Amino acid sequence: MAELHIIGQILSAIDFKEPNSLFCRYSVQSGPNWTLISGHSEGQTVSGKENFKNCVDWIHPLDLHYVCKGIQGWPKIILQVSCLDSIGRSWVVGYGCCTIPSTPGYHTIKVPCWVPAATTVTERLRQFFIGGAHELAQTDLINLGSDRFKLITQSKGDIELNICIVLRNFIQFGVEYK
Amino acid sequence: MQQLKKNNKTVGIYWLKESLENVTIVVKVKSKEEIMTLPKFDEYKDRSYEENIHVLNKTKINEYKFKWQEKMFSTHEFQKYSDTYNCSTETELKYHDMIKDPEMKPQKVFTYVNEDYHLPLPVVENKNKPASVPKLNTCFEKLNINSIGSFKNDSTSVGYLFKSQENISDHEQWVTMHVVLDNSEYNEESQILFKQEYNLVSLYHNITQNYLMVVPDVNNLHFNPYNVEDGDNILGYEYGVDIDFGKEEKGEDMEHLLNNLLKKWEKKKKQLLNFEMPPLGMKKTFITFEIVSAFGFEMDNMYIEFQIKIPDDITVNGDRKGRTHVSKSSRSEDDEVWRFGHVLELELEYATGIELSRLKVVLEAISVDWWGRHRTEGYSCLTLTLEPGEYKQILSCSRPEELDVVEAESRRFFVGGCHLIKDLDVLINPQMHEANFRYVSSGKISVLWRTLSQTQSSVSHTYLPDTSTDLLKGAEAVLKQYKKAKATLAAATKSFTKPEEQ
Repeated sequence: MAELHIIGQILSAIDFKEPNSLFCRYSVQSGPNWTLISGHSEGQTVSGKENFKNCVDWIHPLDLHYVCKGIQGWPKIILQVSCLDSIGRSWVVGYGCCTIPSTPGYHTIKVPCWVPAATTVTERLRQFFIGGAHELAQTDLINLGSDRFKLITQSKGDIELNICIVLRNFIQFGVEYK
Repeated sequence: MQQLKKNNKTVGIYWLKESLENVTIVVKVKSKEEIMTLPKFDEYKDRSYEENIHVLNKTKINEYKFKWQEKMFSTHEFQKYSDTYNCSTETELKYHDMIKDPEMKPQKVFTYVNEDYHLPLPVVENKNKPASVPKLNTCFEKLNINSIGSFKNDSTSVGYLFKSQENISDHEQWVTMHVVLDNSEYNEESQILFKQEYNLVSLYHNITQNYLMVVPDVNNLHFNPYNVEDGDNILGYEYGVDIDFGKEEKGEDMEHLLNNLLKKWEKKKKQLLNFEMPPLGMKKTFITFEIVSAFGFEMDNMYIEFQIKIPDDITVNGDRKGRTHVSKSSRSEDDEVWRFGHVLELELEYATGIELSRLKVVLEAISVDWWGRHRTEGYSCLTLTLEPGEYKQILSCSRPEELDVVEAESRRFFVGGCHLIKDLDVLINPQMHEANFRYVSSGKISVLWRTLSQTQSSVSHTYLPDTSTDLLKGAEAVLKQYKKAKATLAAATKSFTKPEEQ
């Protein structure tokens, strides 16, 4: 059985330009051929405020160990950035998704994030003065592109990930990755 | 005092794994080697030396073999059952029919089977069994108010009798068989003068628990012979008991255990090695194509429409055509950026050894204005390589425009809308088409794709998993447990003999 180690960290959020603190919930999703044998596929970072470079550092560690019996359904990381305001309210300010690299070694990934946009003036005013944002009812839309064309979104920032990939036994099953 | 009385007979308990039909009971009887049994000088003095040696060396062991519940007759029984007038019951009539067989002859060592009802059944104490419902009913019967007086009148001895019987299990079912030596005296006409029978072996099969009790146990005739005895009388014979359990062989359990272990091992190995592979002679390529972002375009509310041109000799699984969500720009490093993060997965299958024409991805950046008109902002064409690896590319986009600038600008401002190029083959093979328009650079699209391919490897993938050593360790542990259990069983069955010995 082939094995995949994902070791790294959710480094930071860049250019979100949010006045409130930001934190990120993440979930690593994979196909039915994949089994997580150690590590946590879901988690949440600490919340932090942007610095003068519009960057929030999280440095949240990731350490996952998967075994697989087929390469279909390669793992993806789904990210959801939320903000936390001064009175304890939180709402989503960004969704993002990317496939975990399939080549072994060190990777720096920038995951572009977006959020459903306020389409009317009243919504925009409400969001500006009161806060809050639209959220996706079906989070499958983040990683599946098929129905996403219905969305009108606002581009937000990027999330930077540093990931080391270690592959084991894939060659023995005729898998070429480099 | 008990030690002075020499008794080497013990009880043997055998847990049965197969039916008793395969069991053969062997009883070997020989005369005791005493002075009285030695050949007399007068009888042999006239014979040659060799003959005498032969007589002395001649084995005197008589071997009798019986199957389970096989009826053999003594001379007395033979005489009795041969006459129909003596046979009244069904069993006796059956014996009468058996005797008619010319091969059936009376034997010195014969058998009493279960149907004969000759000897008593063993008594099994019922120590651990919880009180059953019938006993509870008897208790209620005893508590009947009308009979309280009579219950009080029961003597203490009767009370003890009831108490002692409570522990005796009356639910055990037994099937018995006895091997008996016939030492009766007969006259010349085979009529019995003096009846004397010695029980050699008794076999009790407990149907409830499915075990066989052998009294006395199997012995070695040479090293530990049993005396033929009845109370105080000891006859001038010795005998040995042997039981052949048929197919059962030593180490059979072990073999069975190892076979089970092997099956488990194979199952686990199969599970471990059951990696999804493409069919033989085919290659599978997995592509994850990601439209990351777009930048440098003129208008806001952008989306990217994509179309993937795949050669006919490739079977594809996944969307070939689609579009991203509409994205409003955000400013990053003095530039407007539209972020998409749209992941597209493709699974391609094709025959190995053929030359493939490459995959073409045509991207069209489209903007939506505030009153809902869609404008093509730019086209870009990407040739996807199927070589495994990870690739990033920033694609420059351009849009076709009329040669007349004024016409182009006014059409774009007032009309907008529609796809500018209907046949995207113009982008894939521009040299094949005569174009009466020019291209204007518009913006850039950042894309990323990762390719993995899989074939039926020439390298044998029947590798042994690392857990093999663990599994073998597990096997050793199982064998150890098995030995331990066997020893426990032996100790447990040994305790059966204790009450008999006492």
